[in-house]
Order: sequence, then structure tokens, then C-alpha cells
Amino acid sequence: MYVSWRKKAQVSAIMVASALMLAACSTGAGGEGTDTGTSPSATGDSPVSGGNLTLATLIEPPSYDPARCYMAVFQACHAVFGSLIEYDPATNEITPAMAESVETEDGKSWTVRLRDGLTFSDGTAYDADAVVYNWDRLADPVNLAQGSARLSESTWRAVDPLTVELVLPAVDFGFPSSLQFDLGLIGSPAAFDSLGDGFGAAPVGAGAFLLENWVQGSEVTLARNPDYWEEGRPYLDSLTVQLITNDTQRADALRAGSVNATPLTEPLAAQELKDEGYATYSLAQTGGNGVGFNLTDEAISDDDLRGALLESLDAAQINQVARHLDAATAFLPPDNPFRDDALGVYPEKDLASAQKQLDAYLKRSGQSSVEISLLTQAGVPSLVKPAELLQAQWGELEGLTIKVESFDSATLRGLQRAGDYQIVVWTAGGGPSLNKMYDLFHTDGVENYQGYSNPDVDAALDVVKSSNDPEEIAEAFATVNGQVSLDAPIRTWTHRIGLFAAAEDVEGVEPMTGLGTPYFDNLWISE
Amino acid sequence: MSSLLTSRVVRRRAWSIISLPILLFLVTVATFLMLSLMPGDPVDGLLPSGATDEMRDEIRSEYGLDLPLAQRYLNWMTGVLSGDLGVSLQSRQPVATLILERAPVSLELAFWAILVALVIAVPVGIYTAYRPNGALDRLTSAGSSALLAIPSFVLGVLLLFVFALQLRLLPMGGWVPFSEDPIGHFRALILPVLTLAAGECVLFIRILKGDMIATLKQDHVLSGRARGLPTWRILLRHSFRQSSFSLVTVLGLSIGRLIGGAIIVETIFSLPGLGSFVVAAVTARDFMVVQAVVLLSAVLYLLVNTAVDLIYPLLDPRVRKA
Repeated sequence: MYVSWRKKAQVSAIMVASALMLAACSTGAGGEGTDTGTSPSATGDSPVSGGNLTLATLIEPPSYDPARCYMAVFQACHAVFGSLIEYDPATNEITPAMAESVETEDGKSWTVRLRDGLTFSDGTAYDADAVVYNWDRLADPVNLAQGSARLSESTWRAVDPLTVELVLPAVDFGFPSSLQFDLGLIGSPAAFDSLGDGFGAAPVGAGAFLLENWVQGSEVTLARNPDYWEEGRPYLDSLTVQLITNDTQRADALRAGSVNATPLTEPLAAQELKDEGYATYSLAQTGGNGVGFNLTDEAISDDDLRGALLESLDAAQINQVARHLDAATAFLPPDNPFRDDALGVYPEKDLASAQKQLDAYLKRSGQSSVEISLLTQAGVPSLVKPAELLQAQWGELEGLTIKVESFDSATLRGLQRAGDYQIVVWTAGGGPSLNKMYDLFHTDGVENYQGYSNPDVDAALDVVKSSNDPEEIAEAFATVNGQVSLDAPIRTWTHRIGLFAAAEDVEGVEPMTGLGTPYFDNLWISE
Repeated sequence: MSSLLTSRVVRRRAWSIISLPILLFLVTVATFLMLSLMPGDPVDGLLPSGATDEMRDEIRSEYGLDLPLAQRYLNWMTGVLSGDLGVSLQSRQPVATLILERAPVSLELAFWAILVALVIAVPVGIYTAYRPNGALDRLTSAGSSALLAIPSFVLGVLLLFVFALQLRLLPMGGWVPFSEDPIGHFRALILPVLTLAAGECVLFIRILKGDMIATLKQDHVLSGRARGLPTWRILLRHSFRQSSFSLVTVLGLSIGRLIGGAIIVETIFSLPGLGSFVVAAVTARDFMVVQAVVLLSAVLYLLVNTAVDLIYPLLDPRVRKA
């Protein structure tokens, strides 16, 4: 079905490595394995065209401007724009989509070749100039695009009507993942010019669906794009995506038949639906919910104090409250092929040892007690409840007081960026690619809000970017996981996982996009 | 004497109208200051990972956040007075457009909730005042106590559980535009309207019943009864109009509250109204949206209550002479 992926390219080893990791972790909520192969049907039946589905979603894009289509809303934007490439964690493949091929010889200079004859839904050409126009927009700081950091020191140009060349500032064999997410959604330049800021509400792309109607804050109706490049797709005539922010309500909407499928955030909720006969799917992510320690803070940078905090943290208790299944014992999940517990795991709970370390810190700093600030995001139970529990858990140590402070997401992010905090409860990482570990733990990582700097970790993460040898990359990931689990600049209690539940007749849920929701153009209804 | 009374009444009515812009000005200043003085920077919620200081500065400049507070307020008010409510930080769409998309949902929800509450409360309030301690009165007293004790979010979830999840008679939530499917539109409205109307209805019944009982004891009512006037005429013509003072006052407050404040109900039922809109905006620090919605709610609230002030004389001639 797909046009073949040109093998001249050195397909990125890091992507393959990431795929292996995710394939190992991609299982049903109850442990049921995912399908492999390219068949979009879980039952092996051939896809049937026609019909309408209603999906629930927990978040809608603030705008359908590709610059604002961040990871959490990727699948909605992907339906309208498609993407240059698609990554399928179930089959370990990077498949071509709008781009026919992506090639590199050195990991620094990349050539993206587009399919011939692609058009946007307004009839204009989806060509190299359109890609360049979009990347120029993404690079403009005013557009606040996630891809702007990626493009900031890169150069790009249209070589011919179907070829774009991009030169990165440094070798990065993991670059293709950006062609799915940050840089992969391409809109019609003509529509950008004519609609201006209105484009975000009336997007024009070349994806499988056309945005027919968007009642912001409620639902979006997508209709089949009759001119979609891939023959026979999408299978559905239309798709309604209904915004229901509460996890329980989304599950109930599925039970009541108001929606046919829904993403979930709580593994236990997925387990309950599975027990009731619904099909459930999951996709491992990089990262999870936990605490981030600001290592630039004088008190938190003290090994004894941080050791006391880490050894008095009860992850299992927090997980119980957060309705998650297994508590994290290292940064990567247990079934990850790159995890080697001999290289390091999170410190185990040991209250006596924790008290000793705290006493040592207090004695050395000449204090009788210490107060530590713990920030969390107001109004998000999965972050507020753990903060309250941590306050109680850490409160068991004599001489330690925890002050919980709640902020809105924008303020919290600002405080993290500015390093103006001590400890924060947050959701670290996201997305299927292990590249995220570079962002979180490298000294120069864009999400290293902890001020973490470990030369061994930096060296390993540099290998991850610069190498195209899967074995070397695997070894580097194992080193990083072991070291960051020992150092625990971020101490997660749950592994991030994308969960999806669907009625029995909903097919084609796999492959899934980065956060565990399916590609909409792959969905169909069994007879 | 008469001219003195007239001038006092005129002065009072004039003050009701003159005080409107003053109150609105105070509301805008308070809202603006509250949002501006909150810790943190709204831009932080927008910046992507790895954003540079240059990017932050550009965005701050684009939204005028680098200007002094007074200048920002002046710019915003100048825009508001010319019909420009600014641009949403999150969606980059004009705030006025976004509000116009959502306000009809909240207005319709408030309209039906008030209407349903009144349709139930007026006859029940009148009858229970006419027959105190009767079966309906006892039933209403027990029911209203129970309803008052149930918060709207609990009632909403309960109604969803029974009518959507168990009986599957009504949808779980969501909004169906009337133009797309009129029947679906009203089916989607039933549960949120009932959730909102329940609390208002109980309040209306209690207020109307109390006032009616007092009115029914007045001389002109007793005299009407002695003259053998029909009961319906005594209740509706001689008692209800006079007893509706407090009801009209509360009605005004309820309308204002429901238009801008049905936050929980809109969230539970996934309705794209102003309430859920403002919650999302507060979370994202989309201050342009929050300022505009608060301003709109304040305007509506004040207008409705000014209208209520002006309606009093129509309900009772004695007010005109007061």
C-alpha cells in the first residue's frame, strides 16, 4: 500500500532503536500484545469503507495552525495535514507519507523528497516551496512553534519542485522523528496568506480529512478528503471528535455508546474497560509523572538532603492514589530492552537511612529543621494528589517541612524554566522517541529544567545523536537510563503510557500516533 | 409634596443608569489588576521547549506585555470601546469572535434554565402558599431541602449516570447546534438545563411562597375574598403581582450568575459556553479572554439588575409613589 521507502537512505538507527523499545512496551492494558504487520485490522479482516465514528478526546488543539499543533493534539492535526513521514511503533517502521523518502549520508545534511502530484484541499500544489514556506513560518519566533528550536540553527532550501534540503547544525540521526511531529505538518501557503490568523480555525491541508465543522470547546467534525493521495483512505466517511476532559466521563461515554472510542490516562480505567469487553490498546512513552529536583538550588543540590527525599518517597502509594498499575523503579520501564538494572535503578525506600541523611544535612548546614517548597499544577488531580501525598510521606522525617504551592500551568512552566523552584511535581517527557532523554538529561537539553549535568550522561547522549550504529546507541541508552535512575534528577513514580479503548466494531486502532491515539485515516468499522 | 416625590424617584432612576459606567469601570480595573498582578508571565504558557529569550521578548512585545501597566490598561480599554476585545494568546483569534461563538450557548442554557425553573416554581409557589401544609407543600419542602443540599456538580453527574449511562435515553454531553439537528439540540440540553434549573427552582419556590403567604393575609386580599371574587383572580391578580418583588430581584441575580457562571455544568456536560471557555483561559493564563469574559458578564449582570430596578414600578404602583 505504501510507496516503498528508498533504502539509499541510512534509515536512522536511533529511530529503529526507539521503535524496538516501544514495540517491546506496546501491549494491551491487561498485557495483551499488539498486532504486527501492516494489516489495520485487529481481527485480520479487510478494511471496510464508509460509516461515521465518534471519538472522545481529552484535549483539543488551541488552533489548527501547524505551529500550534503540539504533541498532545498531534493526531487531530495529522488528520487535516497528514505528515511528511509516519512512525509505526507496532511494525518498527518509519513509513513514508507525504514525503516519499528522507535521505542522509552524514546525519547532518538531509534530503526530503516529496511525492509527485500532491495537492492541498484548496487545489494548490504541495511541493518543496510549500514545505519551505511552512518551515520559514515555524522558524519565526512569533509563531511559537515547537519546531522553532529544531530550525533555529539549521538552513533549508527547495532544490527542485519536489526536493527540500535541510542542513542541521550538528549530526543527528534522530532527525526524521521531527518530520512527523515538529516539522511534519504542512499547510497551504495560499491559505496562510489569505486567511492570516484565521487559518487556525479554518485549516487547509492535504491530510485524509477535511475540517468540516469545529465547535470550539465541544467537538470537531472531519469529513473524508476525496482527493487524499493514498487510494482507498481514509476508510470512514466522517469522524466526530468530542471533547470530554474528564477521564471517568470519557469512559462512561464509551459505555453509554455516546462515543465509539476514547483515549484514557489511567491504566486502571483501561483495565476496567478491558474487563467489560472493550478493546484496549497502549503505547509506551518516554518519561512519566514524578518530581523534578532543581539541582541549582543550594539545598536541593545537597546529596544528603536529596538522598533523604528519594529514600522516603513511596512510589507505590502514590501510584495507588493516581490509579496507575506498577510503580516505576527506574526511568525506563522494566520491559525496555535498553534497561539494565545493574547500571542503576531509583533508590529504594528506607526511612531510617533517609532520616540519617537528613540529620547529616541539618548538622552540616547548622539548622535544626529545613522547609522545602514543592510546586504542583493547580486543578490537575494527577499532580495535586501526589503532591499532597509527598507532603505526608516526607513529613515523616523529623526536621523536614514541605510547603506545597499550586500554580497554573503557565506560571509553573515559567518557574521551571527560570529555575525558580526547589522541587516540582510534573509530567516529564512525552512522545514515543527516546530522543526525549536528550532534552531532559543532557546539560544542553531544552527540557533540562533541573540543571542536571553529568559528563557520562552527556557523552552517552551525544553518542545517541551522532551514531548510526544500533548497538552503540543501545549501549548509550542503557548507560543514560542507569545513571539518571541513580542520580534521579527526575524521580518518576509512573511510566508514561498512551491508552486507548474502543468498542468492539472499531478497527484499525493500530498503528498509533505518538501519544497512543490511532491515526484517524486508519480507522474503520467492522460489519 | 408630589413634585418632591417625583424628583426623588427621577433621581433614583437616573442614579441607577449613571452608576452603570462607574461600576463597569471599577470592574475592568479590578479584573485587569488581578490578572496583571498574578505571579508569573502569561507568555510562559505559550513558549515551546527550548524557547530563546529573543522569542520571549518578541512575544511579550507583540502582546504589549512589555508596556507599563497603565498604558496596557489604556490600550485595552481603547480597544474595548471601539469593539476590539483583543486577540486570544492561545488560538490567535479575535476574542470577540470566540465570545460570539460561545455566548449563545450560555445564553440559551441560562434562558431555558430560568424558564423551566419559573414554569415549575410559579404555580407550585402560589399553590403551596394558598394551601400551606398541604400534601404538595410538604412534598415541596422535603424535595427542596434535598435539592438544596445537592451541589450542581453532583446532581449533574447523577443525572448523567441515570439518564445517559443506565437508561441511555439522553446523550452523555456535548453540543448539537440547532441548525444541524433541532431534536438532537434539545436532547443535549435537557440534562444541563435540569441541573441548572433545579437549584433556581427551589429558590424561586421558597421566595414566592413566603411573599405570597404574607400578601394573602393583607386586607385587600381578605376584602376580595369577602366580596366573593374567584380564587384564581385573588391569587393571580391581587396577590401574585404584588408578591413577585423578591422573585424578580432574585431572577435578575440568577440570570447574571447563570450567563457567566455555569462553569461546572458546562464542564460536566462538555458544553462550549462561556463558563468552560473561561476556565480553559484561566488555566492557560489567556488574560485577554479572561478580561473580556469577565467584562461581558459584568455588563450583562449590571444591565439585568438595572432593568430589574426599572421594572419594580410596573409591578407595584406604590413604588412609583414612594
